[in-house]
Amino acid sequence: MTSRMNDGRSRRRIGVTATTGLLVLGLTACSGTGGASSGLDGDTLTMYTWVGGKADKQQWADYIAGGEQADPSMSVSFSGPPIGDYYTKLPTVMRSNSAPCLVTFQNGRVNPYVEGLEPLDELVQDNKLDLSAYSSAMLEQLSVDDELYALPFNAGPTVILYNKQMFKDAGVAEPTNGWTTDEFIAAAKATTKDGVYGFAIGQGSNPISTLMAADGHPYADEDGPLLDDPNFHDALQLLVDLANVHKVAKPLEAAAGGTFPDIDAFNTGQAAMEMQGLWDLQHAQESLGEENVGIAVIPSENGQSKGFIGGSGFGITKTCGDKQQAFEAIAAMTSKAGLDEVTKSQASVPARLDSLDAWSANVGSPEFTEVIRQMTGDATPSPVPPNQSQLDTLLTQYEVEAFSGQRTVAEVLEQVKAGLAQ
Amino acid sequence: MTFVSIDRAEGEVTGGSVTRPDRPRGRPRRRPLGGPRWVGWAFVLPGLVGLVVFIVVPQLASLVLGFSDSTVLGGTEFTGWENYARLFRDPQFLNSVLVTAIFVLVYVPANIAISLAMAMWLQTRIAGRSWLRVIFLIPALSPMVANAAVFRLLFQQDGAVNQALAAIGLAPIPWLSDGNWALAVVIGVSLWQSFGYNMIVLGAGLDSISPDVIAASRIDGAGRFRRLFSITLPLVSPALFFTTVLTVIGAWSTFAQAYVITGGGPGNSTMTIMLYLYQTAFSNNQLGYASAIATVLFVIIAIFTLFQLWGQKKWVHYD
Amino acid sequence: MTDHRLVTPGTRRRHRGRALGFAANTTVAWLFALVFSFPLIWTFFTALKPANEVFGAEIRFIGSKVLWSNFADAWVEVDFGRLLMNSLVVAAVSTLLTLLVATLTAFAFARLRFPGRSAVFVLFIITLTLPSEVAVVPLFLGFDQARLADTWIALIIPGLFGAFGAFLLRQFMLQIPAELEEAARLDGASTWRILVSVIVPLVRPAMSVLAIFSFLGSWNSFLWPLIILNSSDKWTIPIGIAGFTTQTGTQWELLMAACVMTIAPVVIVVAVAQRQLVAAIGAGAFGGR
Repeated sequence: MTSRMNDGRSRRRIGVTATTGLLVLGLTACSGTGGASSGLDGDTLTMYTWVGGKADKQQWADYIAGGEQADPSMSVSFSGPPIGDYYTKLPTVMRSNSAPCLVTFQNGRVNPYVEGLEPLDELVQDNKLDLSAYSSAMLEQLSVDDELYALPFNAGPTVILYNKQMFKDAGVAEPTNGWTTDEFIAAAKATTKDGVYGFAIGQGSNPISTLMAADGHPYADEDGPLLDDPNFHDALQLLVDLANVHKVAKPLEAAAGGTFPDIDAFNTGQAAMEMQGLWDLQHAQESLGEENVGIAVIPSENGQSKGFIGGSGFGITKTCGDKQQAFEAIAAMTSKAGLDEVTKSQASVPARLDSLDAWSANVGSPEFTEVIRQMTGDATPSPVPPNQSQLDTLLTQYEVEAFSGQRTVAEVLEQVKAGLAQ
Repeated sequence: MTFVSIDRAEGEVTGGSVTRPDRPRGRPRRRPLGGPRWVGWAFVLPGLVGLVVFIVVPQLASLVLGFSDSTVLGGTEFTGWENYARLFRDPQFLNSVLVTAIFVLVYVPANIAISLAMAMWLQTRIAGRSWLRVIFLIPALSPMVANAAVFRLLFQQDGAVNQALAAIGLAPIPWLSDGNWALAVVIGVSLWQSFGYNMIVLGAGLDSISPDVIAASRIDGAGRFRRLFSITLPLVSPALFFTTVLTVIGAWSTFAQAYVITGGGPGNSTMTIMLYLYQTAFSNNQLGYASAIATVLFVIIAIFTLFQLWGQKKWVHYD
Repeated sequence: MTDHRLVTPGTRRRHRGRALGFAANTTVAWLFALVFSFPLIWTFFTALKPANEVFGAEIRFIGSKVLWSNFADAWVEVDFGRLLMNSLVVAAVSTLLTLLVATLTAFAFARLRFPGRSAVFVLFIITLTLPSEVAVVPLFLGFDQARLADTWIALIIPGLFGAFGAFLLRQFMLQIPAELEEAARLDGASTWRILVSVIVPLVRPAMSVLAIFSFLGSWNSFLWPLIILNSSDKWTIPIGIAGFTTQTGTQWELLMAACVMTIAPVVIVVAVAQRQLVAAIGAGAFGGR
């Protein structure tokens, strides 16, 4: 008898609590913006970034170690999803109640997220940070409407990575800093043999923007990619021709976003060349042997190649609880001392011009430095449009049809344009 | 999230040696258990509250969000039916409905047919039959992400499948470069992964057919096909109904295979509704629009399910 | 299903024919199983290859080196031990709680009368038609507002309340004769006591089925953990596997090794439990009887 009464009371209690919870959730589910100040774990700043396997973890650990070298009081922890999911998750994370203080951006993909980012100009002034030491092209890419939103830490231009052994075996001279597109195609043809391709094509907009930049044409403006620009068409057409006409590259196939068939191919010896940011140099050296990897400028029509600067930066979220501390941290991580330290273990090119010497000493050879100097010295300014990630997704999906011959390049660009207009 | 199942909507109990209607028909029957009425509420409350809070409310919220232009980082503004109007003008969305519809129309019958055929085959005398069941079930038990990675490797232009074709003198097929073939690959992977589960359920259904019935029909001179259509299929129809409804719901919500193998490409030939929803919500940051897509998907699934429930009376045979 | 027939003069010939048919049948079935398993076999052999032989001009099962070390490397690369632990704990907790909730709910539907029962029942049925992925966005927003994003609670709780479990158990409970409960009632047992001592022991097969399905559903769940989890130390296996794609490319051979390590325990569980699984499904998951 009594047991039944107890059952009832405890059940009623559960019922009330649950109903209250229901109401709370229901009411709050519709309300607006994210939480109050946060992003700090005690004294440690939290950073949200792309974290896949060991290589990614090592990179961030190195940058943090570099920052601590420059400023021993700095304390930063990091977490995040694999790179394929990073940009899709970033807005939800920034809006959430556990938003971090620091976030990272590649290739200046800052635009879609400025609503959640703290503009840095005031902090720069208050902290008297000298911005002239940083690559101006990078600073531009990390700014929106003349407001700076992130401090750059690496600023690798995209280069051609090539397999020296394959070039030697094919009897092809190594690329010079003035090589033309025709010479590039010839080299690719010579190294395409025995089931190995001369060149590996990457997905998305990067190869196109790089090729366009080499001839001095920006691929986008603040409103969006210049899909109607004949140079855009020609760049994509060149990639398609490399696969279908010159037969020096594997045609692109449908693939999930965030995969890198070109890196896979080059690092496993399936292709003699790839177009990649310098951040991949270390991985390539580990896979193919340090002596075996060479870098070259991007081939251009007239032999006077201009660089396409990519790279990454650290930003501060609007919801960060201690923005001054956050600024000090990113300033430390991008300081000369910090970046010099990083060059001891990471091969990506620092975004500071005064760290290039440390980079040459620790990573590169004189020939590398020459390439870098040309690419960074004479770069085509390339603003990153706000719909960059949609552009990449749509291009990755639709360019496959150009490679399979189902559509012309013009039709593919029309499809991309239609998709972006949504 | 776990599978869902449909049972008889009317809530009747049939079969077995005890038949007990659980809803009063005509004059009220004495309840098997006495006790105050709130006891029933007490027991159902945890499940009910959880259902409402975590399933019903989000669905309703999704419905509401569909009438706004909410973005993840920005605010929310009520926009009425605009999202839905936009949906019906959106070629990407309409295409995704077409792609998913094709997927459903090919995948579901193929799945059921293969599962039933395999279930019947595994009823015959085969050595190591229970081990075979395990083997066919394995793909259903591994994460889609894992399966997809393998299939991408196999179906690449120079992957194992094309090399095997070359070995027997056939031209390579552009599995992942051609829209139609890519959709075929997605359907194929889905079939490979999931028929094992249906096979087990249908096998159990077949097992429950009394051997006497089969023997009697044999004595009566019924041939194999006659037996199949007049005896076996009707008797296994409850199980068929169960698996068909589940499979249709799952097919309309296809996401993981397309996401991990093809990313929706080439072009948008493998862009399912769910994948488009995901991209809209998380790549394009348009939560309101994505919620409208979700509501439309729900309506489509509801229509198909109700249709099947209605059709149940026509072809499902309960003894 | 043996056919009991009289042994007649033609029987021996028939028996030989049947034996040949048996052998042929078995062979074809196993051949088909082999072809069917090819992707899994390929996964296993790729896991043993060196990195630069995953793609290749020639198709080979075994690479130039057999690298069992890939398994160790994969383990370390994505902290597979933690992924495994997370997946196990989440799946185990989900299963236990799902069983609890489903049992209570099924009991209420099957055996207890209360006003509004039919309405609640209909509500449950309606939710069966809702694909769970559709509600992901508002669910995420709700948890986020409640400051519960990226927590174990948020990961586990939404999956506990699907109507499938309640229906499955209800089906079995309905088949238990009322006399048993009436006898217990007469002995003075409370409703709770009846559930625990009379009903539950009799529906154990169904509960095992539900346990297995819940476990597997949680083990393979991809979309919800992807949306709700941020910290890498909470990832479950399907998410963690994506970590083999870093900003510097994908390590396919390690990914394959991780896939093998993911599938293997599941295979073992199913092999062990499959007899119970099949028997229990047969006894009424779909209401054939």
